[in-house]
Amino acid sequence: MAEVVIRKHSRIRSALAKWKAKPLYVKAILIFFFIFFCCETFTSLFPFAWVINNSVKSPDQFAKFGASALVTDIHLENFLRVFDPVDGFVSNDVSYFGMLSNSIWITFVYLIVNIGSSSLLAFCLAKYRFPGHNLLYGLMIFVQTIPIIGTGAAAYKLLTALGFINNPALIWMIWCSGFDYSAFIMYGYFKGISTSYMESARIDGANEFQIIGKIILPLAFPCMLALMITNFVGQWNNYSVVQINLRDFPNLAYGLFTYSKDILHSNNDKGMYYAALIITALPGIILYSCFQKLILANLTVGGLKG
Amino acid sequence: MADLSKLQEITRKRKWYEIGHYSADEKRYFPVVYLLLIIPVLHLIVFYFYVNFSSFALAFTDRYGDFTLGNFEAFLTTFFSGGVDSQGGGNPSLSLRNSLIIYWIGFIVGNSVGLITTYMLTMHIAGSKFFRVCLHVPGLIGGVVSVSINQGLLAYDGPITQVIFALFGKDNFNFAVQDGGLLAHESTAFLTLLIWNQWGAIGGGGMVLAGAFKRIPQEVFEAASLDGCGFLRETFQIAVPCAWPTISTSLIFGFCGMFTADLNFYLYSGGQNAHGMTSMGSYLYRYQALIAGAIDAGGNYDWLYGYVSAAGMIITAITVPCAFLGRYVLSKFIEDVSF
Repeated sequence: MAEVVIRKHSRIRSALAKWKAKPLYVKAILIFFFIFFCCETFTSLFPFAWVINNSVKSPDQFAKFGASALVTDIHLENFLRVFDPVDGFVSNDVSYFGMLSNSIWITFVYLIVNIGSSSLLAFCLAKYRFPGHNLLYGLMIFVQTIPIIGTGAAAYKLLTALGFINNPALIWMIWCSGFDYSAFIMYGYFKGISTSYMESARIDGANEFQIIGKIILPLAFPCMLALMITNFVGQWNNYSVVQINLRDFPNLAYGLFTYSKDILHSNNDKGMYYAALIITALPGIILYSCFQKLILANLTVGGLKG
Repeated sequence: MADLSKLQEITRKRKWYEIGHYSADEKRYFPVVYLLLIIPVLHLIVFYFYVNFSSFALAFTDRYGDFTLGNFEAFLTTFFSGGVDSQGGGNPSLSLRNSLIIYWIGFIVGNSVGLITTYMLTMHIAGSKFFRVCLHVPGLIGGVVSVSINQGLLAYDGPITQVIFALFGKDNFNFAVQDGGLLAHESTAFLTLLIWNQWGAIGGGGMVLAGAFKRIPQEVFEAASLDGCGFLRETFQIAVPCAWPTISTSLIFGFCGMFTADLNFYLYSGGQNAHGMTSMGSYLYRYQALIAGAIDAGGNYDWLYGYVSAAGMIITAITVPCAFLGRYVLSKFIEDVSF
């Protein structure tokens, strides 16, 4: 215990010595940015504090004091009411649990097939030479950097003709896009994995599938996990995929969107609505807070100079 | 000499259309590689090439399946008149103007100020871990939740609106703003969202960029410090050039969004793109939602397919040269710095 305290003190002392050694203009810059980040942090957290404050208000408090006033009487039952299948957060005739389960399967199926497909493409391009290699690499860049806009209508027409609309058994196929930003990140990561691992495994008699399953996947897993976490937030909040392709399976994002159209004008369910917002936002925040080190360590695109 | 030229021929970097020489070992893995590539390549063929080709064809097709240039005419007429189209009530010229403003403000503020703040946050500021989590919160809670919270903050009884009314005087605002909040009128809605989003984006920074800064070896900075390198030189002559490949790649990808840049207007306006809250991205998306909604309700919006495709084609025709130009400028005029 005493050792820990001494180590902590010596760290503080060395930090202070470093600070004293810095030129005045550097100190001024650092203080300026520290204040700037404090202001930014306040404005980033204020909305969250505001929504927490409103999530425990009763309809009466909204009616009397509005949404800006501090809560006077805490109503935690708003959080429980969200899950009530009859009187709770019900949108498009689907309860919060129903929307939650739709969000979970849509997000996880998307992450698995999308990152999986991107990883397959990136792995082949990074580790093998084959006819068509340069063509596929060029296409990977082309698809990402040359925008083709307004194809949504044509895509919808095709999906309708193929029977993909409102069909969970087929809809995952449109998420298998390997030629996306994730492929770039995975490509850089696979390039960084030494080929000697694969060669050693081949000498030991492993076939390519064993190499992928037992060597490459475990090595690439941190990067794939980091990608999954960063893509999780986007997909968890993706209302468009439901609005266009899966209307019979509303997720939380689409439910909140349709619910929000009416709620801002009525005080009755505002507390419960804000509670639903908090519950919906929590998974992304928890995931990032737990894995931010992993994300920073593994996500890169375009490499580093040096 | 002959051997050397043969070796040069074998090791020469080949163009994409050249088959090249492959060793027996490499040829052995061809079946495995093609098997692994089936899913991404099939997806590309069906959902990229076929869809793009189909979109191209739809742009020249009327509702009866006959050839027409009417879709282009309809879009261009509305666009140059600066008014609202008769198809879905959207304003394409305002949408394009908004997208360009969002993109260029984001390009200048997001990429220059954001670059410095991300660097400071990642490398220098005390309590950076705490700040990083806090500043990423708006990005983590995502589109719909974030928009819903912001709608409340910017509504008439929301705290931001109340502060702004107190600072600038409520009577100085348009009646609709006084009555409905900052998002209730064209004069304030777009500007409010632009400022609010940019302020949040500066601190949030990119996780990919933060990762790039984080992975610059500490020895590089220590060596520079021993050589007497100051703080500013360390930032602009070491950190930024080291992370330049990451920065330039992000910029190149960013060009794609120049004409469709959006601030979740579709969500903010409840799917109406009203009060000037429109961008080319939300304008086109709204049509897609209209088509899907109408078909889901048993209606028929076949006639809108062609209009959306034609609008997309015109925007693509403007975007592609700009994207090429942007890439050219980045690669030619801003060189990578090597040590």
